[in-house]
Amino acid sequence: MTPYHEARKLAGGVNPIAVVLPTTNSIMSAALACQVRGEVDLVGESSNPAIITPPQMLTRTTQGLRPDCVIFTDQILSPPNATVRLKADIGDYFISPVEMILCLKYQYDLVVWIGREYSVLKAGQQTAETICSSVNTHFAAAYQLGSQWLMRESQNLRKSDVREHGARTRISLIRSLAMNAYRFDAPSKFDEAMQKIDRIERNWEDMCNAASASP
Amino acid sequence: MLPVPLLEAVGAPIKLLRKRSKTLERLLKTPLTTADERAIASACGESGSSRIGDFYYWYYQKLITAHAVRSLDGPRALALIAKLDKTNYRPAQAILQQTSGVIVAVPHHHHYILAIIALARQLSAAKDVYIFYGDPKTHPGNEVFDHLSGLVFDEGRVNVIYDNKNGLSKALRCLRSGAVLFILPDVFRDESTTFHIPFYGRAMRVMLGTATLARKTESIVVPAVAVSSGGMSFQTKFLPEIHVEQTSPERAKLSDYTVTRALFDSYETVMRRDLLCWQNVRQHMLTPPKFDELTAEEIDRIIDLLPSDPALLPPICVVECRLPA
Repeated sequence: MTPYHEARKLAGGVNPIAVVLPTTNSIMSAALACQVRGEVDLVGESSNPAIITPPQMLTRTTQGLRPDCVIFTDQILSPPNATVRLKADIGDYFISPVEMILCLKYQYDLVVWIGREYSVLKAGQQTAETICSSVNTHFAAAYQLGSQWLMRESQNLRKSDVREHGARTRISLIRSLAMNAYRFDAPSKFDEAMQKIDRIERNWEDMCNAASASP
Repeated sequence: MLPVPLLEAVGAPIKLLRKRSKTLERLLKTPLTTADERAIASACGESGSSRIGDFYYWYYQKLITAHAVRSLDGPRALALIAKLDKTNYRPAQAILQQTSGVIVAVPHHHHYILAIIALARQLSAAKDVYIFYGDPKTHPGNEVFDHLSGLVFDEGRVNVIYDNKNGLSKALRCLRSGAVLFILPDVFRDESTTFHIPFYGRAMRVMLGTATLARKTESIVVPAVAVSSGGMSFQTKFLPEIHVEQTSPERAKLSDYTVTRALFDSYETVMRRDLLCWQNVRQHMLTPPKFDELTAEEIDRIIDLLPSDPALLPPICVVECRLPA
């Protein structure tokens, strides 16, 4: 039985399900086979055209379609798609809101792989905290897979300090590109450009401090 | 230990290697990662080499030179340096004729330590000379500089200044009094104070400190690069001096950036052939490959879009998942 079919059986009921699974070779092969048969949509961030992004999945849902789906949440790392900051014992990191939106808004039951078993989160009985807590447990279990877990090395990218370093680098690079562009001729527009970058940097630092301090 | 020329001849076949050798890496105390291997291949491409053996041979040369210099007493170490040094010092006369301070900016390239020692000794006959580098207490590995300076410089002729708050004040005072200060501008102490410049087309982080010191003290900057002169020998290439224009406080950073770019642009003209001999080559060749030379109009448009960059937006929510203490 594939992980999807096992999850479908566990969830029972009439609601569509979203199954959160880690990216391993065997799980990926089984999920792709289910997708080819039209049983599920696959959600993640991948160059594989069979896998759709969270916004594409949510677009389908808003169009009235509510297909069962497998979410490879471990692949969803990019700032546009991983927008929920989770405060965990291992440090703050970012996850996708797709599980929360599907469960809290579109009545999906969530079936989350947490190692040797699954955690079933029935729609209508959940909060953002219970869903995030389950995703947090999912990641802890995925680390136990060792080298089988294909996304293991990339997980650093969701850590808040790595994100902040990336953002700081981006601001610094843009400031340097501006200096480079204006280095032989610096009209008053150069001062305006520098002031704009300083303002953006200050706002971003305030935002980081606020996110770090809350809730 | 065998004489250096003999060791050089013994190791020469290393250059012919075209494939990685983990045994050799172990012997050279330079284990490479797959990423390092890619970086070295890129550097080989820049310098027109096709063999990883060139990289290994440079590490071999470095290792035996360092070992030889460390195992000799002062006069013998100086004799070895003199034997390896093929520099034409005539261009250095211009430094001696300066009445202002002079910053000799030397990148961590080829036998840069030997080049600094040789040049500092030459200049110290007529000028106060200082060498500026990270305090070994905070920069492990720099003890070798301390060891060598004690060994090869006559007391009081060449002095060391550590890169800290007191050291910076001292460097400013020395330059204002017309001294020569050696500085290594291709490393940084604090990433948050760096800027990006293009170097071999890739974005590189640099501090603007060399240019700032020159501006504040009205000193000139002399770029000098140690390059190979065949076999184990080196020569110091003196590049056109850079004069720093005085500017308004609002434009000081821009002026420092412009001078720093000019400095590294000049390095590019002589380092390409021996790029593998640059201490930062692996790290630099791994960075994203392009530094886009944008126009003012293009960068203005990007700055306007920056506030909506997803990487700079706040999280849509923050959720507490920590277990209660």
